Amino acid sequence: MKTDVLVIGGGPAGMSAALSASENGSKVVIVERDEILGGILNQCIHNGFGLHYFKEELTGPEFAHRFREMVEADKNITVFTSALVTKIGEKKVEVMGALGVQTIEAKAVILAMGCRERTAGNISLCGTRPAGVLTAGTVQKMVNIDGKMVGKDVVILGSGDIGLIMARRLTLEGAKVHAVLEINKTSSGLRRNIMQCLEDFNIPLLYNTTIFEVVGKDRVEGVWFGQVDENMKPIDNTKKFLKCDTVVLSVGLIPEMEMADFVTKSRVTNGAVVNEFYQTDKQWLFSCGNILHVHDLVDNVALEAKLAGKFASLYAQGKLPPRTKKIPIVAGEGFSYVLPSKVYEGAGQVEVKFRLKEKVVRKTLTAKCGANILGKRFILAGVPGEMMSLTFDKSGATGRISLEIE
Amino acid sequence: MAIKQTKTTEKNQKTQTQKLKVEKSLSQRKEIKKVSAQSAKNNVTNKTTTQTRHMICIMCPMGCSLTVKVDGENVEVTGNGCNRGVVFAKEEVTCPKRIVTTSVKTEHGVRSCKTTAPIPKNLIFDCVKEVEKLRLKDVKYGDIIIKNVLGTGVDVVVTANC
Repeated sequence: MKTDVLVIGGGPAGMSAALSASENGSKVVIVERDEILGGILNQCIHNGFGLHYFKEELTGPEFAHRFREMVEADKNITVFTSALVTKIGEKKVEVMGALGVQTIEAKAVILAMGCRERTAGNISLCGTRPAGVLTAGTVQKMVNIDGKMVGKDVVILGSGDIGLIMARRLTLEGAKVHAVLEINKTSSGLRRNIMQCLEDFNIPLLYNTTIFEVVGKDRVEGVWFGQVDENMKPIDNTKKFLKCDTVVLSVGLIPEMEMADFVTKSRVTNGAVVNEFYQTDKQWLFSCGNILHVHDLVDNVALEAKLAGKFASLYAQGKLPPRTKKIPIVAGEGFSYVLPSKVYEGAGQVEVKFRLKEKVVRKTLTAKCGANILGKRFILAGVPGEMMSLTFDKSGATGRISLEIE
Repeated sequence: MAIKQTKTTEKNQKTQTQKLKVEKSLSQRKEIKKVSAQSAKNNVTNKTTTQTRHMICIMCPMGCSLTVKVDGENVEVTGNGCNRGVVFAKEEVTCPKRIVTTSVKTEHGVRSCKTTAPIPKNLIFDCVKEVEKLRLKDVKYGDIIIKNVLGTGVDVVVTANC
């Protein structure tokens, strides 16, 4: 089988990229391992999606539904569900699905496989390994899709957004959520979620606190928990026992990059290093969505994927602007990363996305090339938990572009 | 209801987009108000005694620490960086509302559903219980499964086909 653009992953990033690639004149194939399109959105039944993209507040399944309908109506897009990519080669992808193993040749390939959750093993959680230690996304799927409850007395480790959302969901389903433990001094979850998922239900959120040991033979019987010092070392005399039958982990995400481990990756995001066209160092391979960097809003995923889809489509048709001199974009003091990390010399606007290391209040963010200010933006406040962006004109840039906080 | 606003800063610094956001959030809140009129009888809040509450504003990443004094009809908000904080705090102390999302049992498994508008916070659990009672044959995206849930004037609709 041959196509112009092959999209791996049929979540919000994959669907948006496919629609955009088709809009720009390419034949597209989406390969999705689940039975239906939508990715993680299908199990995110809470509201708060789509405020930027659709200008109205939707739930995850509704957001997915809208995109799925657009994809299904698009004659230039072929979708393979229940199909797994087993190998990515140069402009060639091996897919295992209902038709057996087949090779799809594509002029451009887009990585849109998202993330998977960090597990108990990933964070070296101490203690035994009884039933009842689950990641928040697994709990979400069991409760929202399979209609199964996971336990009665719950402790949540990590205050990421999915953990907070599941604290509320499990409470509404009749479980007692005893506490959410956060090892850091601040939560990576959105403030809105802390309020509406924890404070509304009087669920305590304990900072600088973590699980020291999981106890239980067949099923979780409880956890030893306590505070940590500034080096994240447990403080012994703060140790307390909490009886529970379920431990839910919301401790971060890992981009599913193993299939494409031949590209250059960023040490900060663990996603591919991309240029302004969302192109990796393999020219035919593009990347967008959570596999590129973890987003907090699906709206941003859809918008980013729209760009990646467009550029992949142009590349497939040989219309991507020829590469000129490469200019690196560097994140200065106070930024944890900036993406894309390179642009090509020439005219045009570029939107870069970044995260801050710490909360800043009333600062101006600038993109500079030497003393030349290419773009700037005043922000009232910015926090690490919220991805931000800055648009600037790259035509004035001749060398290294740096982002600074002033 | 009288609102005293004790602190307003960086009026000059507000960008066009921020202004738009304020307008948008205000207009959204007006819509919510419409619903609140219909559901007033369910709105049990503590308005009669003087009380002080502390909350963190969620309208923007700034996260201002607000102090809200409620004295009968008077709501006084301090610590806010902009007017959105006043709007937020006022609603939180007088009539907090939330969209409720849960799932409904059908013959083909569970299906996600939501209230079509925010309902009073104190009705969240009751609303979930109302949905839990249902055993439906089959539903599809957009189906109304409860009309005017708990007399709020708000419906519960299905949000997914599978």
